[in-house]
Order: sequence, then structure tokens, then C-alpha cells
Amino acid sequence: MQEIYPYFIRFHIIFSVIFLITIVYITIHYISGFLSKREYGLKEIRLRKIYLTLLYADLVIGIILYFFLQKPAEIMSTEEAMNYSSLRFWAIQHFSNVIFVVILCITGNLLIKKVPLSAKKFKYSVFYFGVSTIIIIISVGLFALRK
Amino acid sequence: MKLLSKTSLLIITGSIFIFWIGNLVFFRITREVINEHINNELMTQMAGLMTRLNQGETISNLPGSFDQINIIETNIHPGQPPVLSDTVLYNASQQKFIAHRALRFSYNSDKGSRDIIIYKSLLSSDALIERITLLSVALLIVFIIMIYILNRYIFTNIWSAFSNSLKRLDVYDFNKPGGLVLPVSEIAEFDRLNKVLLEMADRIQSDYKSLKELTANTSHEIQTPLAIIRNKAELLLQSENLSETDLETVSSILNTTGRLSKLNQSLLLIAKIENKQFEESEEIDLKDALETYITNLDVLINAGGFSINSELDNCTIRMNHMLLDVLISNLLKNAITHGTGGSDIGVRLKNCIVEISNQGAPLPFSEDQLFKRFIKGSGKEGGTGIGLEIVRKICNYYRINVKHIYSEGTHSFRVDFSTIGGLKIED
Repeated sequence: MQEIYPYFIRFHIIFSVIFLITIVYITIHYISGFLSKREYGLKEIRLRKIYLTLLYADLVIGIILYFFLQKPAEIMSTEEAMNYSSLRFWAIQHFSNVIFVVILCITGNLLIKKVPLSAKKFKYSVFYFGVSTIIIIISVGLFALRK
Repeated sequence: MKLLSKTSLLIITGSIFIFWIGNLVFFRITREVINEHINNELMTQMAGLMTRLNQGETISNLPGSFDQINIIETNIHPGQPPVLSDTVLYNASQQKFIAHRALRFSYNSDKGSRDIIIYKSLLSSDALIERITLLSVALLIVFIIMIYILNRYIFTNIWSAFSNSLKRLDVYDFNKPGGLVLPVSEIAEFDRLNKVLLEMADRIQSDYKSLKELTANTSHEIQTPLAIIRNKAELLLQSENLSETDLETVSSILNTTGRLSKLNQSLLLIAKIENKQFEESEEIDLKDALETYITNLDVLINAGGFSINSELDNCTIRMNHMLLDVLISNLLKNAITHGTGGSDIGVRLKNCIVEISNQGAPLPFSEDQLFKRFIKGSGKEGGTGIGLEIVRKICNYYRINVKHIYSEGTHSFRVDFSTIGGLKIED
């Protein structure tokens, strides 16, 4: 199973980049909606569903990667071997961050669904999805810096 | 959104942040402490090794708690300070590579300079940190579920008195006998709220009764003198020795008394509608009712030279018969009073929407003034000026929509009965 690791990690990286671009777009869309005080319509509901679907998919990929696939030492570079422990810790921290983001987004989604006013829906969308996006960016950004 | 949902979700949000920050801090501290412990252990082992080597023991015989030792013959790094690093080593028994912490230091002897690397496995410490982190995440999920269940249980119990009071207030009717009864609560604030609500309900009920009595008494007291004036004026009219001027004066008194009587009855009707004194309702065939009203007003219609243009579908509604009578009569009378003589009066019933239209000049005032009392468009005599106000009150009472449309010289009043009725399906 370990032999599929390189392909899977590549898929995870590509998926994460698409995910990151999408959630940044969705967050900006919510911020602009909140500032322009427009109606919370079907587009916003669809964007929320897209955000959550991508997040769940990313979580599933992360679970597979963390628990079932680990980088085989044979294909590690010397530098990676030197930082093996740090990378492993980063992975668990990244994984736990994503779990927090998932719980945060589920809570936000419930709150947004129950609120009747558009202004409040945008306010909660900006807060919950905005904070989640920031956590994901910081989490991925720390990895990039570490690399 | 329910109070319970909002409080639960906000508490959960707060908890997520507290746990997340706690998890980050806890993870960092645990990792630092364990790393420091491993580094110290390796440094202690290095010191022990140096002492033994200085005492003349050979490297191959050295015992130690380190997992592996490598000795590299070198002349490159004599006197190099010890260097700590992470690496992976292949474990033959487990047949996999395992993370290790390495300490590389130099040892100088008569035989030359050597670099010694001692390794300590990070397998157990890494596993410990991983488990702690994963446990804290699992703990958060359990904590959130517990918060949700506890909050729901505590909230439902504590706020039950408030919910009960709210339910009783929801069904409370001033018209029905028996005052408002609210449960006693052990929560001081809810108990106080109930007391305030009870006092308020008592005051409102007492005011309501007084208003009802005042309306009924005033109406009755005004009707009697009006009837006397009317009778006396009629008697005076029959008198033989009245001049023409006197006759006109007495006729004017009779007309004005009649209008005053109508006005009194109309104001009384508005007060009764506002006091919700028309609770009884029955199933009415709207088509039959409209046909009856048109027939009843036949004399007035013919007198104005109007012709009725009616298109009536079937519709059954549920409302008070007297109020429907007042509503339709007022709209028909309005069309007769303000319609251009000799023109058509349209009465249409389709999909439980009644439309009564007449031809006439545009409104001399703004549209929003139309349903207000004492607003009169034409100078035509006979109206009290509160007919459309009564129409609006009845429509508001049943929450049915009424609107006025003016198009191409035709005024139309459209009353949507679909909210209180449905199409009658004929066999």
C-alpha cells in the first residue's frame, strides 16, 4: 500500500491547492456580501455546500494519509530524514487543525441555516468560514515555511 | 431560531476555540519537554561514554542505554562541539525505518580523532505525543456532544417555567371567561416576570371590559335620543301649518339624524371588530351571497341607472356572516355612490377573489388615504365616510388582502378570500 504514497500525496497537494483557492474565493464572496448588505440567496447556499463538501473530502484524504499511508523511508531525502520527526509532528498538528475546522464549519453551518436574516447569515458566514480559511492558510503556510 | 439552539451553538463555538488554542499550546509544551528530556539523556550518555573511554575502556565493550552507536574514524572534526539532529534508522526486527534522535560528538585519543554518534529511538516519545494530540481532539468531540446534551437538559428544565408561561399567554383570550393563570417558578426572575404579566393581564382585561361597556352604553344612550328626535321630526313633518322653509328645515333634521344614527352604528361596528367580538364563523357560499347582495341593492342600482356585469365562479369561505354582509354591501354601495351614472358595475368572483369595479374620475387624494376614515372623494351626500375604513378593518381581522386599482377610468376593489376559503368542487 505504501507504494501508492507518492501518487496519493501528489493528489492531496493538488486537491489542497484547488480547495484553498475555492475557500479563499468563497470567503471573499461572503465578505463582499456582508459589506454590500445584499440578500443571502441560492448562490451563497451553494457556495456553503461546496465549502463543506471540499472540507469533508480533504479530511477523508488526510485521514487516509495520516493513518494508512506514511512516507516510506526508502524514498526520503537526507534532509527529509533529518526533519522526519518535525514533519510527523507537523502532520498531526495539521490533521488536528483540520478536525477543529470541520467542527467549526459544522457549527457555523447549523447557525447560518437557523438564522432568518440575510445580514446575520453573512455575518456568521464571514466569521465561521473566514476563521476556518485563516486556520487552513496558517496550517498550510507553516508547512510551506518549514519546507 | 430557538434560544436553546443559539446558546448551544455559541457555547460550542467558544469551546472549539478554547480547545484549539489549548491543543496548540499543549502540543508545543509536550513536544518541547519530551525533546529536552531526550536531548538531556543523550548528553548524559555522552558524558558517561567519555568518562569510560578516558578510563581506558574500548568502544566495542561500552554498555549504554542508547539504541545504537556509530564510530567514524575521522581527522576532519577534532574538537567539534556535540551536534543534535533527527534521523531515521532501519530496524531489522521491525523491518521498517524508525525516527531517531542523534548526538554526534568527537573523541580524541592516542589512536587519533573519532566521531561518535549515539542514537535514541523516538518511537515511544513520538507515539506518546501523537496519542496526546489525537486524544485531545477526541476529547473535544466528546466534550461538544456532552455540552450539547447537558445544555439541552439543563436549559429545558430551567426554562420550562418560561415556556409554560409563553404557551399559556399564546392561547389566552380576554373574551373567554377565567383569568390568566401562570405557573409558580423556583427561578426568582421567572416568578417576577409571571407576576408582572399577571398584573398586566388583569389591567388589560379590566380596561377591555370597561371599553366594551362604554361602547355598548354610549351606543345605546345615543340611539335613544336619536330615535326620539327622529320620531318628533316625523311628527312635526306631518303637521299641517308648516311653511315651506319649516318643511325643509325639518327634512334636514331628519336626514342629519339618519346619518348620525348610521355613523354611530358604524363606529360601534368598528369598535366591535377591534374588540374581536365576532368570533362565530360559518361556511358561506360566496357566489350565493354575492347574488343575494346584488338583488338586495336592486333598487339603488336601478335608481342610479347602473347595470350589473357579473361573472361568478364557485367559492366557499369561512367567516362571520354579518361581517361578510357589511364588507360586500359597503363595497357595492361605494360603487353605486361614486360610480358614473348609467355605467356598468362589475362584480367578479374568480379563484375566491372578489372584484367590484365602477367607472369614475381618478381619486382626488393619494391612494394610501383611501381606506382612512372620514376621507371622502366626491361631494355626494349619504355616505358616512367610514365605509372603506370598515372594509379595511374586516379584512385586517381575517388577514385577507384588499387593494384598490385604478386603470383606464375604472376603480376596482379586489378582495382576496383565498386565505379563508377554497374552490367548491362540484360533483
